[in-house]
Amino acid sequence: MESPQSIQERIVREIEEAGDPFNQFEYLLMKASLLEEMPEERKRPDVLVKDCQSQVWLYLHDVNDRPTIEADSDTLMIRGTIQILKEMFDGQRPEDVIACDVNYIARTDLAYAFDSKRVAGQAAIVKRVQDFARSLAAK
Amino acid sequence: MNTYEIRRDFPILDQQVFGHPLIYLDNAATMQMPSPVLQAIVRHYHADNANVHRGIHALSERSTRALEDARERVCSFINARTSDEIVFTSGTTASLNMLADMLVGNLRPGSAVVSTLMEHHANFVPWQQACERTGHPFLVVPLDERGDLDLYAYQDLLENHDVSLVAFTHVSNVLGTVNPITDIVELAHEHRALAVIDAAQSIRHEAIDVQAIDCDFLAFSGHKMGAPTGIGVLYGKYDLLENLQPVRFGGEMVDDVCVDRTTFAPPPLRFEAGTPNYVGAIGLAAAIDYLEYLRLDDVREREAQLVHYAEERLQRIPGLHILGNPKMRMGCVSFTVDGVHPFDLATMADKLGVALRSGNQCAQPLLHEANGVQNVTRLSPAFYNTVGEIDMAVTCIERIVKLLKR
Repeated sequence: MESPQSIQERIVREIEEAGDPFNQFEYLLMKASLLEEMPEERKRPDVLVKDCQSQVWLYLHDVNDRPTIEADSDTLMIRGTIQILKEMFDGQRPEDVIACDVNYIARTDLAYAFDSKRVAGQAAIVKRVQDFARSLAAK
Repeated sequence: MNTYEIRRDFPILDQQVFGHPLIYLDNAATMQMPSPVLQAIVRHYHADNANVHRGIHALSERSTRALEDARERVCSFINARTSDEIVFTSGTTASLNMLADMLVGNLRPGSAVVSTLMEHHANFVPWQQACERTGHPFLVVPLDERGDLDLYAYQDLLENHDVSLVAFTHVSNVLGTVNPITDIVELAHEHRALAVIDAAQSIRHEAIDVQAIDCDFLAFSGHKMGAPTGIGVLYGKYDLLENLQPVRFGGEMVDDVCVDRTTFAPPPLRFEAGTPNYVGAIGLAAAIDYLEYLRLDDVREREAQLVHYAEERLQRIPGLHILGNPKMRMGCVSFTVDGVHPFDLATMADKLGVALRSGNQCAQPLLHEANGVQNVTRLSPAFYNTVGEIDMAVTCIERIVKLLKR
């Protein structure tokens, strides 16, 4: 299985190849279109991620001691980032999830679309996923 | 008004953003500074800079003179009776917070404070919080279906409650609604209530005459009118300011300090603890000079044309809904688009060089309770924008909407 870090490198390449910042944003929209929509009844206030400017509903599942992300957002851009995290982390070994430095936004022009509040929001999602991976690793 | 000539005073507008010409339509948040204002600031730092009021030396004298000249300039701009009625603050928010802290505890016991549903948080939360602390009822005037203040409801509140203070905005930062401030003040006074006006959104668009309006207090920010950030004004009638006790303490605002007591300087210094933003005040005076050089009436007319044109163009986009249809709109147009999150829209517009604002515009009661939406996109032109820029922005918005709805 391709490691999270290796997937991230591929995603960085794809974002850079997408072209100018507008096209890079379109790449995120394409990713957003791949993310399954969460049924409305699962979008409960208690599963909202704190520190996210957009609304992000997040469930983390243990599938054979490996994490699976189930999440959605009210903005397409954040849906795109959730899809990227799913591609990087779903079904990965917990130690690989914990070790991965998620930095594809900072390394591409997507950084222009993420102000400090949104960077903090992304970090909050990643932290939740990595904390979950830690709990799996400690099992 | 020759827009192309005026734009030479705003070199910041002549740039590419992400490979596209910048179209800056976020002027309700901050207007750009014209070169004469920047030059006034640089000139002061080059030639006269020193702390004010404190030193017996030439630079300090010149700096102090420039600050007090700026106060005079603001005084004449809003037609205050005396420059002692002009308190410099860091902006509208600071002005209104300070006022709420000073005033609410001294209102008639049991009397109510009235605000409106269209306020920016800066003219809502300080009063709400001060009322919570002191036990005064906090009442809110609703809007009618067009997005104008419900003046019948306002009158009802005044007639059925002991209201001692009314705080309202001149122009809504979301709907662009222009409120009939003279009527609102007059009604307040008929019911023995003080009237506080948030003029943050109107100060650039309209000549404000505080004596004609007869408001008791008025607040605005410099950065909405071409001055630097961090400078604002609290105007207050002198007899009212004279009876207020300061809530910020430090240098310059005192008269006599002893171990057991302190007495305070008269207004306005009483309310300007510490080193004031004197360079900001000098920039504000230069911004006033600039707007008066352009003629405020021409600025207002130009901006009204641009807002009206933007409204006309935007409403042709399928699924786009403009918030409110007030009798008079000034400064901005806010909208939602079916199935499109404002954040996605504004982020993509930015990548095409178009600067819009998305979010709750610091007006959650208005958005959530009056309009049932969480966020909007806002387009706010200034006199230096062109019709061509509005066309280009609307074309970009159309393109993005199609893409996001795909």
